[in-house]
Amino acid sequence: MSLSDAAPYLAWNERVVRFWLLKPTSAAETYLTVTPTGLALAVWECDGKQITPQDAETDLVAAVRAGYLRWVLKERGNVRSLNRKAPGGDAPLGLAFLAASVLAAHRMRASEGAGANAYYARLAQVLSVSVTRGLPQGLSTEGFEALWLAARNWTLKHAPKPLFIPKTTVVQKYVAYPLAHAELREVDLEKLPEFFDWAGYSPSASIALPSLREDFSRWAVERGRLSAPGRAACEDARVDGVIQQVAQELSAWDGMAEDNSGRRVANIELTLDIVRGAPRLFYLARRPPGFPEAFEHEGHRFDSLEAGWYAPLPVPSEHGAMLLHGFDWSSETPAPTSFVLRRRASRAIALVRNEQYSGLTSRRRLLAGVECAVLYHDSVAEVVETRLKQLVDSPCRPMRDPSLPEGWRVYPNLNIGPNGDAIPELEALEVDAAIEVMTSGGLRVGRRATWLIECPPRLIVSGLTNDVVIDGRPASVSLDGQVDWSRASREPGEHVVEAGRAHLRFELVEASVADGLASLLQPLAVDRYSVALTRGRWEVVGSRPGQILEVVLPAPKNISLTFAPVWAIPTLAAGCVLYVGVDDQDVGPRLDDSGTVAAWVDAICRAYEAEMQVATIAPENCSIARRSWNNFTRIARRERLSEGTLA
Amino acid sequence: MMWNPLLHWMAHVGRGTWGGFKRAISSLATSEIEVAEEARRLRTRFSDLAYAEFFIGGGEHWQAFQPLLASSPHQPEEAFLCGARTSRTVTDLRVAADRTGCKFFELWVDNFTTIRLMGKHVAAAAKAAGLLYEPDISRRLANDLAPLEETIRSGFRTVPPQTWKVRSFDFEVMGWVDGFLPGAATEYVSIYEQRRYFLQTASESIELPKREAIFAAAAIGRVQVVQYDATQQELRVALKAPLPQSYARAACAAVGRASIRRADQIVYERVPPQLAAVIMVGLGQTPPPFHLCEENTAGRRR
Repeated sequence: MSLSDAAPYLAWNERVVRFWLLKPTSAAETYLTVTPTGLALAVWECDGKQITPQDAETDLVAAVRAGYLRWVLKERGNVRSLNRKAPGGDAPLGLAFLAASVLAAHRMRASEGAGANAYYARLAQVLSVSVTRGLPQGLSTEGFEALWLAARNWTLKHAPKPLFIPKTTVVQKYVAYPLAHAELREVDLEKLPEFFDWAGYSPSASIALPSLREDFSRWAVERGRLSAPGRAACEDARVDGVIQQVAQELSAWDGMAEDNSGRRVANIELTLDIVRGAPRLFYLARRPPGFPEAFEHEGHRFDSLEAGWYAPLPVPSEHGAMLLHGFDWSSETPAPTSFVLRRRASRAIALVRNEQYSGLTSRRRLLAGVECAVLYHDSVAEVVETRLKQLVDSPCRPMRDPSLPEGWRVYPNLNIGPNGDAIPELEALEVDAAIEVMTSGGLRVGRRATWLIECPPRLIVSGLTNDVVIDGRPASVSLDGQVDWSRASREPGEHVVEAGRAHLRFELVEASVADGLASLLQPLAVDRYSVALTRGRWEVVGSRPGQILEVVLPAPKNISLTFAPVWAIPTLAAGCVLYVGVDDQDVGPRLDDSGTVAAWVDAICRAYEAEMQVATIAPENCSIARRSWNNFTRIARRERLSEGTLA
Repeated sequence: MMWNPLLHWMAHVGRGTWGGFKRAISSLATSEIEVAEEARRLRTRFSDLAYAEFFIGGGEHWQAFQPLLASSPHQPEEAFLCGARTSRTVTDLRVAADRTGCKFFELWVDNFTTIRLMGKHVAAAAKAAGLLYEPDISRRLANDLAPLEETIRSGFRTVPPQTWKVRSFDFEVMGWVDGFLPGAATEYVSIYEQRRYFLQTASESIELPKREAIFAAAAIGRVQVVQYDATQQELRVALKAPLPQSYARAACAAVGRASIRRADQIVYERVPPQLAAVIMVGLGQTPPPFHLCEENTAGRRR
């Protein structure tokens, strides 16, 4: 097996380094949270390629099987052979294998009550080897442990946080290593979209781990949807691993949840723009993958926008009550699956600067340190106004505007300070103090975090922090969270913003002309020319004898010709000859062609003999036209004469 | 606000939705700019100057065209850059112009630039810059014009949404008026401000793009809405009745000039007479009259 055959294994080894080990995390230790979704996300983030979780899983398994064959089975026959540096790098070679070992743990977690033997059987299945004395061929428990410890040691030196290694007991000592990185079972992972939807998170959102932990605990208690082992994992030291799994699944979430009747449900957010001092409120419906391109409901059509949204629709002023009570819009397009766009009932709605859209977008709670607004119903005006007085330093006034939904007002331009009060009946008025790094505006290209270098995004950091670093250099932050990165290098390539424990990686690229653009002009098999003619019977002639077309038109029409028209001659003995050429080039005919010239000569001579007048659309073309007609008639007459002589 | 980055973005992504185009504008716009209004204005400009096409097939998508240096037989030493472009395209063309002895002009109009070349070797400059070259853009665009008659024939026959607000295009006032007028182009507006356009005759309702609906009603009602001034070489239409997209593009891109607004009219300047005639006839309008060259009779001199 050559090194090029080992390339897929080495590519996965590198993805494990970049996606799991080198990614900054606010947790004390890093978890290798390998799931099919995580693998697809790793390919997306590392290579910019979008593949399905199933394909990502198949790809990893194939790569690891090939690598295991090359470095383990064909060498010493012991997994210890992987305990060395990867060719061309200094990361451990065993990382992709460890990722596959966690995948085996994830698969095992799908079955209740699986023991150590069940784990090794699944690992053998992943590696496509037989089980000998209870272990997959080539695996030794000591060798397996050595790989985990080597990975941990490498992260201690090179990564932001060390790789988590469980405190093992004698029972299931070695199996505990991979299992510790796959705490949530598949049955629990499947319920996470419900949690994300409940929490009002955006798809692919990056939520600070403490906030995520708090929300997840609240949901787990309120809804009781986790399995017993899942609940147990949340209640002890394993919770860090659980939250990293949840964060990863959120990064890969496409915004869709499924309701009890199996309908696929996506949220309708609200977005607020203030244009020339007036509020403009829009419905901004999410469009997760699989949702129809055009969503039709009650005769209205919602067309898709890029990046997981339907195009925004203005909220009609008569929708005040709908907004208050919530609504479901079901797609009326016949399809085997039902699709629903949902807006939940609400009396107050927090609107926060959001990286997905240019205006302020609805969110579960207010966010400290960035521009926010609150849209609220008259029925809770007193509560909202009292609460906002606590939250903002400078006094502000609510806006009532006829363009807003009836019975609703908005407090725009709020800069909220931190406040830990819980307001369960109006959660939108609670304040999230988490540090989050967001982008806003700029010209984004594709779904990945990539912008044109000439129009980069604004960077916004919530949580009132000044501890912001761009590519390792400190940057200043304004009171509304805007990061000044004018001094940072704006070179093409990847950039990293770090704020406290939050981070954001994005890329700037130079614009290039996309491949396969449409042609402005339709391809031509033959050169074609158009000429507009009025009603009548015409002979259109070109500058070469033989170029003639006779047409009869009951009404004005554009005629398509295979030659450049110069004159339109009425076939009746009356009227005028129309100059339909375009420039000086048409002044004289060219007799360099053989061919039938009789009709051409006849048409011109007939007009000449009928003393038809020359006409043009533009008067200033008369001199060209006259010169042209004189040449045409001279040549035509000479041709006729020579024909006569010959005859 | 300078819109060149928007053109570069369109070149890079190649195609997108109308909503995405508006979103890109809002990402660049200051809060004083009414995004919807600016998007309409830029869409018209970019389409007229053959940078991109919008609402392809009556849908919600736009697509950028391949870069192309275009010229015309009546001005063979002038060329105009159509299609998608980036800073790199412009730089390459500038260098190529220098090498081939052409003059390069980058003109700011409407807050974005148009690129022109002047010289004897514009074709060579295009080749050196790796661009396609078309020596007779006016003829090629004229050839591609779909007759309005065909558009009406292929329009979708359907009942307009009865619960939406209706307006009709009134040729008396050359603008939209509330309510339904028989035989007129009609606009139906939903509560979400979605719009659909129809040609409503006594026997049927045909859904058409907005501009085509107005011109279809004009053609059926024999209303002359396009005028051509042969002396000035100007094609003029009412402000509220701009030429359909492909026709406007033929009128503008043929000479590399965007239309201008003059009083209550849209004026397409320097449109060659034969192209003007093709545009008018294609839209079911009476073509411009022919002028008799009276000083000499064309026929046999006695």
